[in-house]
Amino acid sequence: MSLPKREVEGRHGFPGARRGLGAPRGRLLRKYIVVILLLVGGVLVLSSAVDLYFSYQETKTALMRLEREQAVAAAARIERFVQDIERQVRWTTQAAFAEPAAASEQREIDYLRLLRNVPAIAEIRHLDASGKEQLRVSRLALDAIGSQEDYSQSPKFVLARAGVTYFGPVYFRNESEPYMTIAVPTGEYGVEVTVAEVNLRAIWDVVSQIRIGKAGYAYVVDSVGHLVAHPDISLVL
Amino acid sequence: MKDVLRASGALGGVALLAALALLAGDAGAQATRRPYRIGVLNEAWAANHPTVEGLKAGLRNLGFEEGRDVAFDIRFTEGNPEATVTAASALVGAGVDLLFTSNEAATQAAKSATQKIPIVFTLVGDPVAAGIVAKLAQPGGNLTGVSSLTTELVPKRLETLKTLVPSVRRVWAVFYADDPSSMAAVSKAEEAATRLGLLVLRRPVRSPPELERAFEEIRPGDALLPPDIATMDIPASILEVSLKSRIPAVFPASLWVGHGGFVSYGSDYHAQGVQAARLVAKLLQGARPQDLPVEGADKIDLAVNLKTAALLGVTVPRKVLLRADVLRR
Repeated sequence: MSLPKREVEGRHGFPGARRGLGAPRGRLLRKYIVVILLLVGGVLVLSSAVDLYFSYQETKTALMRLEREQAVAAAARIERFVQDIERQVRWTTQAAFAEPAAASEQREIDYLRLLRNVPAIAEIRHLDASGKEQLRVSRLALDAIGSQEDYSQSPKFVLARAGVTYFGPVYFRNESEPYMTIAVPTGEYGVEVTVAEVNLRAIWDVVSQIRIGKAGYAYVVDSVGHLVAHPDISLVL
Repeated sequence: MKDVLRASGALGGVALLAALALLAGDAGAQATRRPYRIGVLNEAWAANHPTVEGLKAGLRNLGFEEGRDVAFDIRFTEGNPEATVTAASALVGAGVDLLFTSNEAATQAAKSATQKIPIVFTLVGDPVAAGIVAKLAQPGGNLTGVSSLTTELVPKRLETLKTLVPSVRRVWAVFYADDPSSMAAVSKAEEAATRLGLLVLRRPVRSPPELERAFEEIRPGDALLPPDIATMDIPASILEVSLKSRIPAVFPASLWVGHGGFVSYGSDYHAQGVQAARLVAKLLQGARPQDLPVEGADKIDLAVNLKTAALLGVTVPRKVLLRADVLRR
């Protein structure tokens, strides 16, 4: 703004140039200061912006790393929980007797012990080689011996019989209690199946306790993307 | 230049001061925040009811120190329904941050006393049948808590009885006629009875003479199914009759086995307090009660009194001994 004005003055006010010498010099100084300030300020702003950008990126990476670590840790805890239960269930499946009556009695005692020692297991059942239920011991429902209920077409029987540990989808008992079915092959040749119904609230607790910063949280989805655990449980139900 | 310097200096100073003030404010808020006040309401005869002890232990485990973070205002009303209602309004009047109730009557009293203060209940056998919550998954309103699963576990109770005394046929369900949870439980017992080869006879009573008459019908070889709620002191009367007339009775909580009851199958009181502490902590940290589903009791105990078993002439089978969590000798 001041630049064209001064030029105009310089051209037309020739005779009075000496008189006005002090004023233009002051203006020049001011101009330099402004330019320098603008330059320095600009560089500062630019460098701060670059700095900010990099530190933002760094923070973002660090946060992502933190989140990933938390997620891995949570996953490890969940895995340990499930593996522990699977191991406990497998432990009951080593029948020591060949004679059916003795084996069945031993199995019932094993199941009772299992329910006492592992509070997360609510129910455990034994399916014979044809997929029929021979024994059921439950914490909440009635027990049954030789009910002959047929599970031969059920994936828990089919998969477990094929030698794979079956982990069922999460389901809810009484609308609000998360459960999962775990089935393992049993017997010397793995032709029978032991099925456990497992309460997953312990997993909910693990997940709801994870806090990252002020607003960070963790949630769990199952293999088909259904929400299984979230600090806001109402989203899961 | 000087001006600019001065201005930026001043600005910096202001920013620093502001930051300090913020920090100081934060620290001050942390240091002077008063402990959360938890109003405890139950119909017990002493302040140290197992659920309250469980709550305290649970909160301690979650990092809430009594006196520093939480303070308890405990009202126990010695089984007096009117006193329970008065105590509920008194706690609401005192401006507690949260109400912790044990048993159905105390929960109902708290529910009618406030629609604002969050309530966490325990020892409610059937929160839906009792009309305390609309749904377990979405309780709605200002209540959530731990269900003691009384109705759900009735079949299990009858099964335990049948395992211990295979000869039993008739089971008397004596309960207070106006209690919806007891009615739900008895209906569930009737459903399960046929599968167990039992016959459940319901005897709703409203007065002590009616209770006496119900007891007169009981014959040797029968059994008793006491209700979960203590209105008219029915469970205690059943315990007395059970021991005097040598009639086996299966109780809903191990507390009764401690007092000489034959057998019980149901959730542990102390454990329910510990479990409810998690809900309490979430609410104190800002969660809303309507977002926290009602939880089923985690710890379910089978308790057997071997002395009473001997008195009744019952040999406790190995299966039951293996399963029992509590054995009274």
